[in-house]
Parts: sequence; structure tokens; C-alpha cells
Amino acid sequence: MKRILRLMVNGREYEVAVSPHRTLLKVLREELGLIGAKEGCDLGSCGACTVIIDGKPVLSCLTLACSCEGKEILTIEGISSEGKLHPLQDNFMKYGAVQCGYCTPGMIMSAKSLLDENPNPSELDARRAISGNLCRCTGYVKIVEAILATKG
Amino acid sequence: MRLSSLEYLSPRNVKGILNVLSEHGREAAILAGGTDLLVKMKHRLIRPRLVVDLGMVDKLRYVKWDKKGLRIGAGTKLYEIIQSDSIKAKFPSLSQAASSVASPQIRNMGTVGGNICLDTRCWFYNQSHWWRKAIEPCFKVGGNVCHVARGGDRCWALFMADTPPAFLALDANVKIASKSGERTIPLSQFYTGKGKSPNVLKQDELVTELIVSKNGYKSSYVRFSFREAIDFPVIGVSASLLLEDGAIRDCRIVFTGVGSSPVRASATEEILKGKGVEEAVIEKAAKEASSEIRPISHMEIPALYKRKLGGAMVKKAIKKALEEVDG
Repeated sequence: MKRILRLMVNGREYEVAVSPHRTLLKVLREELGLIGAKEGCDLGSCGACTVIIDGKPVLSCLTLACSCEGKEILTIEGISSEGKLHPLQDNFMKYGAVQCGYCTPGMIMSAKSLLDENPNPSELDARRAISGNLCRCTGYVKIVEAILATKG
Repeated sequence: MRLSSLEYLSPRNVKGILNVLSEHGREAAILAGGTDLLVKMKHRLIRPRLVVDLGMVDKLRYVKWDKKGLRIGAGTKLYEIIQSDSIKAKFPSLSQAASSVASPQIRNMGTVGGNICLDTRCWFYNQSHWWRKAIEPCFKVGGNVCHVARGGDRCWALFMADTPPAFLALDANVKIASKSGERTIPLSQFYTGKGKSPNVLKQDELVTELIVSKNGYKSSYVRFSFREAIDFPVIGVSASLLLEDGAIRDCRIVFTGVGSSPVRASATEEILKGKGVEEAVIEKAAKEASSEIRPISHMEIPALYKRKLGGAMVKKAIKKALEEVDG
């Protein structure tokens, strides 16, 4: 049976009827139209579905939407403000850290969470922060450059 | 990969959880971090009708110290273990083990209780329903063959969790609750050694707390895996050492990844006990560990390779634990 959930996504409250077996990823994409977070492996191995919940990057494909009530969810759509891109987004473009683009939203969410906690990360910190995000184009060097260019 | 339809309950306290478990037993699954449960559900390895979420129970999420020592709530996230400076200072092995789990996202979701209760794994088991349809059902799914040990008469799935060896090397106790009461047992009695059902937890029971009372031990956890992230260990070793006047008074060496439960290397410990901290002693212990463990060949990892690796990892674990002395 469907439940009425109140989800706080990108600072906006949504009221949505959801079957309990649906993951946050499906609800974001199919109910709320927020298709930034991607479905990759859907099994927690690739990080394409990474969103930030209560300040921490987590996998939306392994999170039931029902368990997100009362939490602050941040997706890639929510990090730009007033039509202005987040500095990470700017630098991902500037440094060519985007090839096919599929891993990019997840990469940026992991990187954002790193920079929020540690504004001046080392290269190793940056690599560790994105260690749960796979880039099948293997464009890691540019991604790390873009993250380091955004620091402090 | 979609989940089957299910019912969802999120009681606000432990009592509520235990009531649900007692009422629904086999049909209910406990959802902690979800990083293993939901994968198994998507693979149709388990098909619970109901999931009961621990996420709303704040009282299971704590790291605290009292006269018994360290108490960690089962709902504590792995990253919270890593962030705890007191754990890092006193039991670095716990911190190191929690840091080696999977990926940042999974450590932000996964709980200590979940890692302790992690199911055994096998190449032929942790696959989709569709993949497994092509092979005969194995012991782990209720059939009667083992695809790893051909002709074997039991399940040989491997226990691969990172934090249990670290807790075991510190002689941790585990608190288990059910509607009818609470019991605290040594973590070493929690594991059965059976691939099919690796722990003694009953359908209506919940792990609520881990208690570490050891004092003065130097400890470490090291692991070898093919990838540095999002991978289970081929072998993990936790060492704990109590030093007195430059000699090893007491120690524990515990493996993960070499059997269907964490494996304590008692003969190796005996070699170390009473000896001075010297290269030759560590070398001898590593050699003993190589012959003491009884791994079998799993897919691309031959048993002989694992034995050699086991010895090398024991050496590394002891040296890492000792570094804490100097540094």
C-alpha cells in the first residue's frame, strides 16, 4: 500500500505517494522529475546515484524512500543557486572532467561533501573522496584536477 | 533491478523493533544501513514481506566509555567509528577496520551491527536471480551442491567482513536482545563457522551493542584486496598485542576471508607469547600462520596463494600494531 511521504529535497518540500519498496533514486527520478542522480549498477558499487543526505554522501539506490522522511536531501539539481553554477560544476567544465557525463552528478556530490568538510584537501583526500564513484571513461585525472582547483 | 513489493515499519524504539520481530519472525528483515540487505533483496536472495527500519531508533547510535570500557551501539554508522578520536587512540584496529570497508558512501550508510552480522559471500551466491537460474541451486540457497568445492557436503561461502576480526582480537562481547530478554555473549561465540548460517542470531533477535573491555593492548587491522575501494578483502588480519618490558605478554591474531567465519590463529599466538618483539619472532609467527589457516581455492584465488598471503599479512599486522608504540 502506498504511503504519503514528505520529502525535503533541495530545500523544497514535496508530498508524494510512494510504495514502500521504492528506492529514493526511483522516487527522485520518476516521481519528482529530478533525473540528475543516475542509475548505474543499482547495487551500490558505482556511485552514480550518490546524493547528500543530512550532509553525508550516500547511495540513493540502496536507500528506501520511506526512510528519508524528516531528512535533508540534496541532489545535483540543488547545488547551483540563482542560475549560477556551483564552483565545482564550473571547474568540471573548465578542466574537461566530463566525458560521457554519466558519473558526473555522483562525482560532484562526493566532491562537494569533501570540500564542505575539508576546504583544503590534498590530492589523496580527493582521490579517497571519490573512491566510491566509478568513471567508466576512466577520466579520473581531470576529475581530481577539477576538485583541487575548487578548493579553499 | 527492482525490489519486490513489501511492507515498511520504522518503530521509534528498540522495544518496537523487537515486537515486530517477535510477531513476524521469518517474514521480517532488519534494515540497518541497507547496503547489504537491499542488494540481497534485489538479487532475490531473500524475499522478506516486511522490512523493519532501525533508522529512527537514535538510542542504538552511540560511542561511549564507562567502567566496562567501550560501548558501541549497533546502529552506529561506520563513519562514526572512524571519526571517534577516542577509538582511534585506544583501539586503532577498530578505526582501521571501519576505514577499509567498501567506499565513503557505504561507510556513511553501513552500521557496526550490520557489519558484525554480514552474511558469508560466494561468487556463485551473490548474483542476480537471472544469473543463478543457469546453475544448480547450491547449499546456500537450499540446494545440495557446492560449486566452489565440487563434491563438497556443505556450503563454503566466505566470511569477509572487516570489523569482526578487529572486535574479536579485542575479545569483544556482543549484546543481543529479543522480546523475551537480553543476553551478552563473547563475540567469538556469535559465529558458527557455517557458510549457510554464519551467526547464531535467531529470527526474533537483534544485535544491540558491542562492548570492548580490553586495556593496554596495541592493535591493528590490515587487509589485502584487489581494489582499494568497493571491494571485499581477499584476506584481512587484526592483531592485538599486550607488551610488558619489551616482551609480548598476550596477543590475538584473527583472520577474515579464510573461512566461513572469522578465524583465530591460536598456534600463531602461542609462538608470539612470552617472546621479545624481534624480527625473527615475527617471521616465525608469519610462517606458522601460513600453515595454520585452512583456506580453500575460491575462483581466481588459489588456496596456496592465500596461505602465503596470510603469513605476509600477519607480519604486516604485527608491525603496524607495534608502530603505535613508537609513534
